[in-house]
Amino acid sequence: MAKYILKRLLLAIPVVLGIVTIVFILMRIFSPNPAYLLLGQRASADRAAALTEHLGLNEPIWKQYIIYLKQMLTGDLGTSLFSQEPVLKELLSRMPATIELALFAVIIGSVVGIALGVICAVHQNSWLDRICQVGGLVGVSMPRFWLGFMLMLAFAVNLKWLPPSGRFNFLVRPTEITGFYIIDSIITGNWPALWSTLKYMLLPGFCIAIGSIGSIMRYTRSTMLETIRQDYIRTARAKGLSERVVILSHALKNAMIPIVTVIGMELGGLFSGSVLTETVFAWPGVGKYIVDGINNSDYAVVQGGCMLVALISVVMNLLVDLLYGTLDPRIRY
Amino acid sequence: MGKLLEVKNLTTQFKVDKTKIIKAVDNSSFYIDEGETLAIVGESGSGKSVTALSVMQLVPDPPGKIAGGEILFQGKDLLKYSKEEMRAVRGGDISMIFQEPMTSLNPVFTIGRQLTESIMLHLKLNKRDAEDRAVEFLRKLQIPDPVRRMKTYPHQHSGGMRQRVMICMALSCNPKLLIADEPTTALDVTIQAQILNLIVKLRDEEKTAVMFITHDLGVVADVAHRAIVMYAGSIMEMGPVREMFRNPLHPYTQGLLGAIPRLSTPRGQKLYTIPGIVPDLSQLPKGCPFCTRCDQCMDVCHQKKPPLRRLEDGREVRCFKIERGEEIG
Amino acid sequence: MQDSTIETRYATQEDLMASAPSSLWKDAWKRFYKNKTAVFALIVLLLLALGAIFAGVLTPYDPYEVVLLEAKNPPSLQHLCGCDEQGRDILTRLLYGARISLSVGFISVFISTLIGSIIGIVSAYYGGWVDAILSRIMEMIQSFPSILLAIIFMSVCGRGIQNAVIAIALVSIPGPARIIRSSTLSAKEMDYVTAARAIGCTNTRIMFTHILPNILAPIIVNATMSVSGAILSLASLGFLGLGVQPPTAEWGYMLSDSRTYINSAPHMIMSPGVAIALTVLCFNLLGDGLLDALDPRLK
Repeated sequence: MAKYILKRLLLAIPVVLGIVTIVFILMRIFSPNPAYLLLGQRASADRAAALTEHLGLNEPIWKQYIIYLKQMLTGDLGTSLFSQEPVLKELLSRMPATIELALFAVIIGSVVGIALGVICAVHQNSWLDRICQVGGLVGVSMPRFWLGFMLMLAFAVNLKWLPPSGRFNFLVRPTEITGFYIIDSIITGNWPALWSTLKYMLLPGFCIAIGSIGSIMRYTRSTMLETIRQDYIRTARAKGLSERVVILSHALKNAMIPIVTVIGMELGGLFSGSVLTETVFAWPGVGKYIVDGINNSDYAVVQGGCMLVALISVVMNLLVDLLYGTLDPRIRY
Repeated sequence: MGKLLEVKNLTTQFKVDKTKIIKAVDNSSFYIDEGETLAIVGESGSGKSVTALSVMQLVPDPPGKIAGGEILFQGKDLLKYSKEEMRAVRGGDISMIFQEPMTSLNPVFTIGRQLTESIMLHLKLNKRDAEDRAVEFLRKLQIPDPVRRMKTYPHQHSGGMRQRVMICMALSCNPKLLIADEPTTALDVTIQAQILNLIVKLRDEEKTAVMFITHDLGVVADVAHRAIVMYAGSIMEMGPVREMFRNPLHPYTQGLLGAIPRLSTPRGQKLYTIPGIVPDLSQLPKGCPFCTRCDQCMDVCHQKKPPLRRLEDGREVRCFKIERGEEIG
Repeated sequence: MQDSTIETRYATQEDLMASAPSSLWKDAWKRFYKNKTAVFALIVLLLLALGAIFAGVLTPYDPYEVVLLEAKNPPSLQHLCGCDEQGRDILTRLLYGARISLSVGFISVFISTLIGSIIGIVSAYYGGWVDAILSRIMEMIQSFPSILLAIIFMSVCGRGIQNAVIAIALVSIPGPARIIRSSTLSAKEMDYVTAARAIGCTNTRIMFTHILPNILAPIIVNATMSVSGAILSLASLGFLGLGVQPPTAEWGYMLSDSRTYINSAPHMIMSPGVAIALTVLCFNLLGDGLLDALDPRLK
């Protein structure tokens, strides 16, 4: 197992390197003067000169690349133009909010998506199946940010069941320990805060999840349809096992192996989708931070934020890969 | 000895498309006595596997459907059982071994889990007792180091070993009837003999009746007491194996037996083959299903399907050339 | 006798169907034609395209004319989708927006499919280090979530339709490249390629006149699906303020603009969202239909 983990970790290195390199290339090729890109067009010549020196912009391109790599890998993502704070520090403080929301969404997406997919596969071509298939495609096709507004309109503005935006209520905010409010409220035993946190998470979480529900459901359905035609399912039935055990244990465990890969791919999309959803729901996470950076023409913030989100999705994919290894006994470590 | 299983007028249909329905098993009747081994012989597509799946009620539905008949097991009609009652029979009183050992075991569960599952279900044992029983049966099947093997996964074993596990799974709940659907077809020739011997040995030890489905007449001679020859969904001939081999009545049976190479065949003589191929079930001839390939075909064979006749000695045959005995369907 | 009559009727029906050059495409069209959902999607998209092209004739309003008196008016007979905060007719702006969405969608997909196909076919055909380098570059781009890459690109290069097209095309190159690469790898082993090589065809000729036509089906399906992705990406960029320059009528930008009025004039936010969702859905349905029609083995 340790060998397998190590192998996966080593494979992730070129991906991380690739992400950093692409950002470097984009900035150096398409921007006439990266110093002014970072400092804004009205920056003073002194400051531009200082930054040019810091980034080594007068050096040959390969040396610039090495300097850039070194800075990125040591966490020097530059300074925010707007707040004058180091970008890394601001990002780290916002990261738990984004991860918490995305994980919440992926749990909703997987549970609902797999459940619906299994039901559709078992009742293939029933009216329920047809509705789910169309619904799934509609879910995938809807722009998530628009869906967010629709949910907000329905559940917050009209029905007033849930708060429209934000992450917490000032009156019942949990004490911050980890930054993950669900964990924080459980640790401190602050149940009203837990309830309030969940209420705030429900709309944005569901909004992010709905596309995943669609694709996970469609994929689960087709995988399950394929699995229940396998010989070993006939064997399971021949043993006299109940249909419940045959489907939920014998078939689903086999189908889970490819489904987990799809969930992993969805995770990456969930994190990058946070840029849109967090803006809609004013969720104080990395995505919102990036969009604020866009609006303030704060390039260092945009670059650092995007890179961090990309990194998070690489790490999450890695975790999913490891989960995959535990599911399939045929994988050799 | 009483009849353990009696199948009466079984018809199993498959829907090919919206308008077309084929009869994979057409109005077939047979029985198996307690402790007896009945072989069902035929080429692929003859309906022998569907017959077995029909008894287990495992015919994939849709497109398949048991359209009529009775399946009496110990005198009770299985087709009238509820789903729950039928589940108790499956894997309990009647169990089944399949043709493909490579794909018939679930790849993500350990051998032990797959073995104990049915033992716990049908014999109502707790987990530890079920494991002990599974190990005991693995040992009976001459699987070395059974305790360690319980924790392994199917992909770690060869086809022969997996088929032993399948047999172990099928026999561990003391079934009264074992249905073996071409259990040795997918195996190497040397392994085939081993597996056959094991099935015969355990059958004799446990006094289990066996419905043995095969296309290999050599195997029939080794294991079965009685045999049924099926062709295109219909029973063509039925009788004790010895007599059938000595004096085959139906031209199809004669053809099948003639196609076996024998030591007594004179050197240089060509092996007999039945001309043509099994007809498409949706385009069966109007008369006898075998008339297109029969070398003794008469005019009447093209006109109508011959009835199955029971002869004085209990053998049954479906051919216009045999005019003795009584018509039974 | 009876056989021949059946045959003639069959033939005339085929003649009516399409004037496709080969029976492969004729069969595909027949299969597609049977798929009611896909045909429906195609009709909706054709209507949308016609609406976008003839927007100037179809509506009496100007998409940029400010009529403050009618600001935020709900849908009525005069303004079927209502008016926005500056009193502009929303339906008119949607039609003009369709021009941008559809053309950006098609152009960016054309570019990415063209470049992606060349990369895919070249790397599969030559293999070795060419394949290794190209594949690694594609993997690098693919590991970067595409919307984030587009955001970085747009914030370096500035907003505008041209940059949006380039950004969207750039991030979607790996998709077709990967698909074409794997199709070419299997096509390469076919006998007709060996035959072409045996009669002395050049590599370029083999790649583009022998292999390419045989792997067109996955290219077409992927391109159709990608158009929906491209339209969504453009709308997302527009929503984030990184798409086209305001006040250009563009769906994502319209959506972003109207969110301030979600309480007072919810109709404003409905129509652009419905337009995006419907268009994207139709392209997905069309892609599904094409997949079934062009490659029946995949189902």
